[in-house]
Amino acid sequence: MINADDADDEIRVEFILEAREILDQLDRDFVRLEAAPDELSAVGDIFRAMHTLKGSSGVCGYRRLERLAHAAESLMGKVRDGSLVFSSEIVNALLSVVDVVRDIVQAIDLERREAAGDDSGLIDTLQRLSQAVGVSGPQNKPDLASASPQKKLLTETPFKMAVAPDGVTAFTTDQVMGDRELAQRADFQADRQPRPVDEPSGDLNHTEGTIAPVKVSMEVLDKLINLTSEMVLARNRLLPFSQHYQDSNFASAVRNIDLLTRELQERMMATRMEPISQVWMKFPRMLRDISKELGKKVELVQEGEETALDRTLLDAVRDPLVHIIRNSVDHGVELPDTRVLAGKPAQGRIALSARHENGVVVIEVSDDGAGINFELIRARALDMELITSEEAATLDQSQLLNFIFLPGFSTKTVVTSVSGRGVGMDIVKTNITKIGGSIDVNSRPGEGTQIQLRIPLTLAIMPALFVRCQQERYAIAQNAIIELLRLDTSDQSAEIQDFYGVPVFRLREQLVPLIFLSRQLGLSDDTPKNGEVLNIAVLQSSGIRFGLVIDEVLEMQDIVVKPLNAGLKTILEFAGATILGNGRVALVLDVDGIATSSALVNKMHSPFVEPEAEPNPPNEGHQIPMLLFSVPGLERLAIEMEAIDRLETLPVSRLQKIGAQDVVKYGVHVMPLINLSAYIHGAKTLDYSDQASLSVMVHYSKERPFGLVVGQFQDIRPVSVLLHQLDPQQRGLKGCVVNGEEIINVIDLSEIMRQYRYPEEFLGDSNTIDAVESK
Amino acid sequence: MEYITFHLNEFYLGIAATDVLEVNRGFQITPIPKSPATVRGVVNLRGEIILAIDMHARFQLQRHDQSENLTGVILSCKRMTIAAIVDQVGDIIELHEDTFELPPSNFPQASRELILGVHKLSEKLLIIVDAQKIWSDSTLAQERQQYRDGMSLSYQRLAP
Repeated sequence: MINADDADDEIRVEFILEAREILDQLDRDFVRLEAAPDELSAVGDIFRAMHTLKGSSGVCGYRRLERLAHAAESLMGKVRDGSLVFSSEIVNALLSVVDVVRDIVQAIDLERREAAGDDSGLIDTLQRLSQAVGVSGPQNKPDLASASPQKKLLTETPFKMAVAPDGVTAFTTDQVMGDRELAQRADFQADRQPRPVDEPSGDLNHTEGTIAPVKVSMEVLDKLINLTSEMVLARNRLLPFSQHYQDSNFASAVRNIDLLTRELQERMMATRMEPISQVWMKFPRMLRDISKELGKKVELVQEGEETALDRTLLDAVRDPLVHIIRNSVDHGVELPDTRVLAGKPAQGRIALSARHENGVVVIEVSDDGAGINFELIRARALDMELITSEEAATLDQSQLLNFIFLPGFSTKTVVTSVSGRGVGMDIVKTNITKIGGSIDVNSRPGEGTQIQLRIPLTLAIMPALFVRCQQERYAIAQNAIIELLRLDTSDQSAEIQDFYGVPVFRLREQLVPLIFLSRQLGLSDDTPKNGEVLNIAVLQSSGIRFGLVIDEVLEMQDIVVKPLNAGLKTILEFAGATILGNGRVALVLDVDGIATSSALVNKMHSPFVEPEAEPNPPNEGHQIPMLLFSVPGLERLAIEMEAIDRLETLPVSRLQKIGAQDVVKYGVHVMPLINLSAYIHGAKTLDYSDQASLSVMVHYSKERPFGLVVGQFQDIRPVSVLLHQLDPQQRGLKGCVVNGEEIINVIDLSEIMRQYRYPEEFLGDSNTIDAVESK
Repeated sequence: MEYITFHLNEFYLGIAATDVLEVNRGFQITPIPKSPATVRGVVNLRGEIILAIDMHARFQLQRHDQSENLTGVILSCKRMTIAAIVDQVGDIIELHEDTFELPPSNFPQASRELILGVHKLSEKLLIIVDAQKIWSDSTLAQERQQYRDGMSLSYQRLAP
């Protein structure tokens, strides 16, 4: 027998899974109901869902949830028996319930218990709504629900209600009361089984007679997948023997193992696949909320929701899709009046589709809105001085479209909660590229916009190039490689030059900085001299493009990337490891990490070594987008937009602690919060407890989010790259730029990240770090 | 209690058998550039990539044997599987509490934290190693500290 804790854990996990399923289903039902208020089956479904939720919360002892679900269920009961007309006020109240319930469930998942909280306001609203009818309802029935709590209980009993639509004949037997306790447990399952006879059954979600899927933990699956790939390798080693020994029995046994292994491998890979509807489920509700906020009418059409892709990729496409859909509603679909004027139906239409195509998954989001305003992009690009007016005149539509992927580029003049922060499409693109996918935009003015994502089927296997450095082989992800070349440095035109301390070479009239892998990895101190022939892989990191000098280029191969031990995460150069055909381990290089660790990113941001540099050095006019913000004590701080993935405002109540470290749950990650004010010279430490919410810049490092807490966001604006060095150096600052009369301090994120990771190295610099740690 | 015994230079050591998963010979280790000296590299254990700890470096001993045919004691250290690379694995022996003593005070400080105590056998001493102390993230921090202090045992070894 397992101990009580484990049993509790198991019940809780079961409960959370079930509750989330119910919540997702509720979201869909509400949207369905709002679209067609007469849809009786939806009313029934919502009622039952609330009831199930109440039942299982009660069983698990979650009183808050039970009370909420109870109130919502009572209200729905009234709607169901026809004594209350469904209004959007009711929908809003019930959706608030769904949101609160979702938060509570989330908290249960994190903290293993129900968080305390007061929902009386919401419950009052629900009760007020359900009582409203008692006074003014159309049929003026006796207000049973509020008259007596006992009778109220009865009105909720689903089995009875189902056969007693008028709500009076239900009070026939006392047995119902006694059965209720039992029924509640049974409801756990029973509610999802064939519905009561009189229910119109328009719902295809609960298929009868199918075998319930089994839940298997990710860990077990990953282990199995690991073993399977080992099995494949073992099989590979076995195969040559059957050719060596001319024994037909042996050969047939080996062939058998071969076939079984192959099938095993295919089936195992299939376990990683899940339908994309997993991600889409939440969209109807989201769309409803956004369009309501913006006063637009939008219908969502879905096609191909059964298309399967790798589970890890599902997570990776979720945020980009949310972003694209938000954009479509906000920028694409017009207000109803405008649409009617343009001769379109008042209700806009957003179509989501997914399909398999030549080994990739194609996901499309198209709207029938106004389309992209190319002239606005042109004007904005000119405004931001990204192009000159001569260039502006010649750019065609597809070239203009590229601008929407630039960090900080937004044509929206007003920042709303929906979009317009300029932190959008560039992140969509980064995230999609990160998983080896691509994005394509098509737009026709007046007719709409279509965005197409092409995603590989699985992340588990990715193509990589093997290179040799000293005696070891290293893998580089193929999508980071731009080109491979041999540079004969004895040729004068191909010499390595020293450019302000950075070795560079000339590639088609551009200066490209070089990193020597063997030096970078600390394997040798020699720098190749001019006169040698160098093998160079030109790589694109998220910051810059650089040439990596390696000893030899080997073959291209599909690899399975596995994580390295957590203790080695501080070595930025490696993204993971992979197992070669002979069973040996090879390390996978992290292109971004190499660029960061070599300090090249920092150097390239200094004005003297801009790789795209024109023959004459950049002048004040050369600008890059920066986010301006403040911390207590320092008004004008800036950071390069490209370092920031997202801006968030987090309520302080979401903060949790791991030891002395403040963290928040952020998507699937636990995001540490870094209080920037503690790392910058001259700032007063921002005290979280004085704040209601925190302004946070989300920075991804090695695929993990870090939240940089600032005082306030101010602006996104192009700022000159001409950095004035500070003398003496100020901790946390890279330098300053002058913008008119105003001096803007640019923070040094990589130094701050170093301070954060290795505080001991900076002790003695100042005591501010101590202050943070002791907090 | 049962111990898996092994040798490091002239020392005879043991690890509680309950911590040991298996003993493997003929490992192929992939070194990790820039890792601390105690990390000999990573190895493939049936599809799982695990750390190979250089026990010589962990005890700050000179490694005499440069052979590539390595022996690893696979053990579970803080729920993590690691391979402790040693010179040679000896017998499994069963010992009684009677012969157990706390570590002598003249042991070097650096290895003291690794050692639970010694068993006095008739002909030699068996040093009992705490498997849970073989690898920890703090090992990394310590070595960084030592590196800074100029004691410098890390970051140099890697050229094979």
